Amino acid sequence: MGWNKVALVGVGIIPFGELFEKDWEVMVEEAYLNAISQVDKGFDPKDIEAAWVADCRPGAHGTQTIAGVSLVGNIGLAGIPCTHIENGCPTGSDGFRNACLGVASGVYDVALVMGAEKMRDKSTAEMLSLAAQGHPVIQRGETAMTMFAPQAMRHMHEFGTTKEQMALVAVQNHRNGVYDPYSHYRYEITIEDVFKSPMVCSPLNLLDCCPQTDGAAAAIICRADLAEKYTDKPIYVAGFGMGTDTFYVHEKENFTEFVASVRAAKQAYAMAGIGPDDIDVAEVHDCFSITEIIDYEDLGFCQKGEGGKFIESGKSDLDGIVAVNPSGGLMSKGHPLGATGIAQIAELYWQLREEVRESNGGGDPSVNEKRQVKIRNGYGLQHNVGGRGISNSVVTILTRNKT
Amino acid sequence: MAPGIVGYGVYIPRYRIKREEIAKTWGGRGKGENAVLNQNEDVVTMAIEASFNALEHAGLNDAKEVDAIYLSTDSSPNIEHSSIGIIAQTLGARDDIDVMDFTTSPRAGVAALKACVDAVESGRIKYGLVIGSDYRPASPGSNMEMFFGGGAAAFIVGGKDTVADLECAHVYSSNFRDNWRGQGDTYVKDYEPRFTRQYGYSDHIFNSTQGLLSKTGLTVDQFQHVVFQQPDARLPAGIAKRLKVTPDQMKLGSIFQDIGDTGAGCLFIGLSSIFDRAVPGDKVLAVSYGSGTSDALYFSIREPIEEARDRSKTYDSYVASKAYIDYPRYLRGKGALTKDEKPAELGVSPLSPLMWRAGSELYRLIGAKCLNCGYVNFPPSQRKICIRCGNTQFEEVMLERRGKVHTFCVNYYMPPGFESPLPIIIADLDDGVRHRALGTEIPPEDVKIDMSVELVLRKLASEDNVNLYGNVFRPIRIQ
Repeated sequence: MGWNKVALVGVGIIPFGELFEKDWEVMVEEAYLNAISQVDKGFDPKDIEAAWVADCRPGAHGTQTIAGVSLVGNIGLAGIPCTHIENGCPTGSDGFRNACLGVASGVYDVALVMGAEKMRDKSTAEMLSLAAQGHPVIQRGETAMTMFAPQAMRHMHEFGTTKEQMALVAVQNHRNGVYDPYSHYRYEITIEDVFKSPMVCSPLNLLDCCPQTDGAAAAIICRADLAEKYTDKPIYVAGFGMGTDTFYVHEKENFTEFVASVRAAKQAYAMAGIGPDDIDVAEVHDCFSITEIIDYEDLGFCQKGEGGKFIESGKSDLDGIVAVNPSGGLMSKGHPLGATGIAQIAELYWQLREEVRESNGGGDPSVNEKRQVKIRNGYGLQHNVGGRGISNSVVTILTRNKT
Repeated sequence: MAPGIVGYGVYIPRYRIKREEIAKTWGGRGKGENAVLNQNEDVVTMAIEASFNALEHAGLNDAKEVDAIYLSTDSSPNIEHSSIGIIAQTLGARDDIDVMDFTTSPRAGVAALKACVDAVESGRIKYGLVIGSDYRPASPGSNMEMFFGGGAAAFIVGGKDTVADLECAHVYSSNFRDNWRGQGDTYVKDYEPRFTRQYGYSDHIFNSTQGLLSKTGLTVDQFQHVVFQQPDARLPAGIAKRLKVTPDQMKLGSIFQDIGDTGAGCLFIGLSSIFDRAVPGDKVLAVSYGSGTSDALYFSIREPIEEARDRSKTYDSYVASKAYIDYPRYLRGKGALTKDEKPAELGVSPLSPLMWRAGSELYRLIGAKCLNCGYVNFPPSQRKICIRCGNTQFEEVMLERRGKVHTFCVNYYMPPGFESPLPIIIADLDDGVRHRALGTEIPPEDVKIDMSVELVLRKLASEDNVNLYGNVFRPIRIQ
């Protein structure tokens, strides 16, 4: 069935938030320590043969922009190969994908992926200014919001998607976030709260947007046939895909779907030998509420144009046909770009092992377990989409099924 | 036959401030209104809109037939560096044209016009584009703030098929200073008006006009239309009385109450308003004044004016297309009210090779049409392989400037240095080419999918005192 050449044997993340007291390096070190300490049968760091560091905006945390690769030195692994990945919102998941390719090539048996992003070491104005840099004329004033909000406008226009339906994404993901001790925000909100929050970029209100969050995550992968050295319950990489699209906004043909996502999903499903119906749980990109509605369609969970109805009918709830963003998604947990994808993979690791209750390094197990999804087919899907012009997307399919 | 004007075009900014609105803050009395610039407008952007209108009115397909561009202004964005470069590039002028800047006086427009007429008469050039574009800086609370407005007009000068011929000109010039701006001065200054009104404006205009009349043997009553430089409402009325010009002769050329004192643009705009209604055989007297110099000009209206009448947008249509703003918004527009913050860095300087390579494509809107699949790639300097089909053969096409909104957003939290809220619009141009640009001159809540918009060049940013320009969408202003 699935590709299953690589196994995930340990994950670790740190509680996301405005981590003013932690250096970027410290965040990564903590995530790394969490990852190795969570390997079931113990883990010797000397087993790591190569590392990938995912960090989208190294310039945003005051250290050198090429410091990424030196990180292995900070965690006592100086000497091994290390590659820095920068790829927009899918930076973390693309780091994971590249590490998988490294292990699957047979060159490395065990690899480490670390992702981290400092989103709060610079002021909001500085971060917005950084985000708006691009082609001075063609991309003048382009920030994440101005790329996604026009998609919402057009989706509303073509399919009658409503602001209420979009707000439901925020309501759902904030509800799930309450059960996740790693989440930046842990409170429930209502549709009315979304509507009452300030208009940020029409038609998106503040609560239609994910916050600015610091965070880090790490994952340890190995050749599938070596997994039993580390755990009896490995999670396999069943498939992955990366899709791209044209760079400039004016070059986009379609403003109601993310072509890159559709392409990434198609590759990943084909590699895993499954379809959308087989997915029990999905961690998808919800940088804005409209993004998740379009994700449902792009990932094949519903028909084109029916994303709004999909969430309205409860199909993405924890007990729906596919539980979407049990971790609280980017909306609650936050979106530290380099960490996001790896943290999503960590959540799926716990979900597929049905150990959400215990696995978290903190939190009340009786609260944590409320977000445990019932695993039927054994598949989880991770998804990011972003980059300039919404031009790249990564989809990863994980499974607990050995074959 | 004397050389003259073969086409003309005006541009008046959309925003107006009522003089009584200024008086609310500073006292005094004010009647009428001034046309004022939006934050993203300047002499360059006004000059370009007026020039497009003039080319259209002259029936010239593009600026390729123009052999000279003469720009007159007292409010250029730069002391050193000509604004003609970007104007020529946006209009698509050739690179072997004659370019000249005329400045330091509100009569600079007439100086430019006379030089261009001479160049045509000498046979050195066939067509010249002469532009008067101004928005002189007035200190908040000054007398001049009540008077200064913004606007531009452009004339295509040529030797045949003229709509108005320059028959005669006479100058009166002396060493006299009334308004001035020294090195390092932000705002225009003025000296005791009771002295300067009489010995400056009134006497100079009187003398130049008398000179013209004696040269031509004409009398004032033989002119159907008379237009004077209009620094305010009282001065033209006073000199009219002195020269025995009737209110009826002054009617079409009087623009001060509608748009204010537009400096080097004033006489051109007044003349354009007259040309909009004048009929063949009419005689027009136009008299400039600025900084101790007055030019009296005699134009005669020619037959082709009838045929050209509806070719472009009239002065009246611009005056009617307006929106009022309040005093703080006006101050922001002229840069007198700013936030103490560091604007977002562009990351790429307006002077960078990147902008140099793509400049003409971005300003003029040139695309590369794929010869295989027909997709128009933009900008051509960055797309050597068709992004749709991979073909490498293209033809150069000009993009349409009008289209319909496909989708949009309005961003209420722009980075520092941006206007906010700011519409960002993705539209399909009339040729089917998709284009993305900022929106302007529209209340954010009025932007709608499918609405008609047009691309106009505007200032996008300024870094190190270098302006960055690019096209932005606005609702179609005048059909």
